[in-house]
Amino acid sequence: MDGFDENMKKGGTQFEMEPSPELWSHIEKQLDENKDKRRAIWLWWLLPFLMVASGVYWYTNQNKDITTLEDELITVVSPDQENPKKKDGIINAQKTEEGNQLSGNQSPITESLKQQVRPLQSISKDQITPDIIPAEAKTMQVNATATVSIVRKEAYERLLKKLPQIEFSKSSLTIIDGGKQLKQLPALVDSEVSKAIQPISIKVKTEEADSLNSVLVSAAVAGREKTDSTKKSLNKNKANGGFRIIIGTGFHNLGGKGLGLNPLLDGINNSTVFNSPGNPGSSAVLQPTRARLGFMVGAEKTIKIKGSNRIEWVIGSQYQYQRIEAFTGNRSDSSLPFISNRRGSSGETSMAPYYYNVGNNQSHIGHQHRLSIHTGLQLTLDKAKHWSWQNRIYGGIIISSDYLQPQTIIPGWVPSANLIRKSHAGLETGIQYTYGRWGTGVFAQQNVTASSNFRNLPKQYWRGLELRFFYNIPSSVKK
Amino acid sequence: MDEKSILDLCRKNNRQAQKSLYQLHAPFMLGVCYRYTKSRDDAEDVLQEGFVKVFTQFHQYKESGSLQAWIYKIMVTTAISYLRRHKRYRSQMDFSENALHPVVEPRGISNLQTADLMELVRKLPTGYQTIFNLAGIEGYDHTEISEILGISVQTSRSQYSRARAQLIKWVDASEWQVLKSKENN
Repeated sequence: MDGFDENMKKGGTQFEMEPSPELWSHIEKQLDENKDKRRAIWLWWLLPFLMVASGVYWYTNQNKDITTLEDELITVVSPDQENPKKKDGIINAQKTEEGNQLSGNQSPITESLKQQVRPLQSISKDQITPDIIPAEAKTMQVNATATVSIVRKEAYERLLKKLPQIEFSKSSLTIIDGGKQLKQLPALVDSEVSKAIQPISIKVKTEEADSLNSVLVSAAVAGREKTDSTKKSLNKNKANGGFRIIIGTGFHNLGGKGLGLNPLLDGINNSTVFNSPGNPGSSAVLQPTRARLGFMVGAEKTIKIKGSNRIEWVIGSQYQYQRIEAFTGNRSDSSLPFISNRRGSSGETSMAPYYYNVGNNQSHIGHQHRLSIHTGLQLTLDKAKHWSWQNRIYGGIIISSDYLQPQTIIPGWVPSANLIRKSHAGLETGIQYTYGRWGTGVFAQQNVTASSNFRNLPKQYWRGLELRFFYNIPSSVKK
Repeated sequence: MDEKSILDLCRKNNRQAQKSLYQLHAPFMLGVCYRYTKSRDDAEDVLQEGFVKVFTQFHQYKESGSLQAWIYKIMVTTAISYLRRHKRYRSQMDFSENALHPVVEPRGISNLQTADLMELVRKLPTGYQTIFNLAGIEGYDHTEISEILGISVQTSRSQYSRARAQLIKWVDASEWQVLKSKENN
């Protein structure tokens, strides 16, 4: 080492400066703030679990309701003493809770049938034996139900024309077969309905979709993943294409014949996947189905469009329980020029575009606001009772705001103690518009980013959990 | 209060002990932060951020090692993270091969004061400044620097050589005078 190097090294390691007198008070203030935030962190941890618990609770209760409904639909009809029009005892409608909730959008046929409705005696399945047939009965009807998937309104209308006895109710098909057997119809749309029901009377009660009420509660876990900064130098940490595999669980409740939600993978931004609420990932498809709990596995590839920081092309597919999706689309995720408040007592502010530059580094803290524009094409194969498919072109704008809180990581979450460890818990809220539909969502995330320290290989790891709650505002229901 | 009791109390988040520790190490650590940044305000921001980390992660400090070395390391990582986060620095992290003059050989040792030497380091473009701090003062080898900054070993090596050459040039009395006179004007 020559004199210059020695001098420099010596100078650097001996150089001292007196800090401003008020600096300690800033540090003290920040330490106090951190203390409060640490308490709040427990709430962040709690939130995802609460969301899962509420989802499970709701799902359980949904099933209970369905069971009750099916039990009620098994009815015994005694001879009609009051209505002279029904001497043969053929009853084509039921007095059920569902029946009382028929929407006002009924056909004239339905209305005429409703006039013939009278209260029915309900019994359980076990009680259906020949002994219970009243002596004076000319006909006894035992109604069983089958849930069917009717994808389009046209299908209902077609059925209505073919079968004057049909009345719409909530996704249930009741088969009346004279008490001899209970018969389940296969998928109504695909079967030759007229043949299937000729020997029997059929009653279908379908309630028009209440609204586009739908809730998605889902969770996804991403495994170890290399992030952009492993490949890029400091001055090139722009959003880039990448590949992501996500495995998780999802819970869907689809309100009536209205809306399904495409879970997480659709349109996820490689660099912001765990930062965005109700983002391109929440899109709607029309399908009637019950709440479903499923396992989700999928992958997506994002391709960076040359010359652009933020525009990406996304190609992906995923499988969720009885549901396969393929999607592709363009995504532009741009920030609004709002001021983003950065933590620290220096009072420094920075512009939101910082957000993008940190990308997968996850070093953003504080509030931020974003605007995302997305368009795409989606093909979904969905099996409720049968496989059906929907294709959909979607587009939308998402404006979101979020707050991320840096955290100390639980030891053992990252492979080496020498790694620089960062963790964030975040809550984001956003509003989304896709064609004809508004939605709002709350998104919670807990993730860990680990990047290499000085004496380790330049790897970065990502582990994360995200939970998403999304609600479509029933503002533009088209029945 | 001896150092041992300060450490024990710091672990219990005792504010007075934390203040004592801060007073003990802040001047030296501010010097470190100053070397990596372009202004005193920024250096104090880094120092603040670094000390908050020190106190919040104090449980991770193992007494077997030097406390100053541990704090020093935190300050360096905090400073680099600060440079990465702030656009005014990030945009200057230019690691291209033609930003500085060709390599020159050292001509002598200057009698400049430590503070002057550090000022010269701070006059380098941010990228060179960072590399010179890490290699020339902190003593990291180029493999380590390439990992820290996400650049190639070759780039780190050549940037260091160029930064060093530029510093030598500046240290030269006539260059230094020119620089000083420019500043005065």
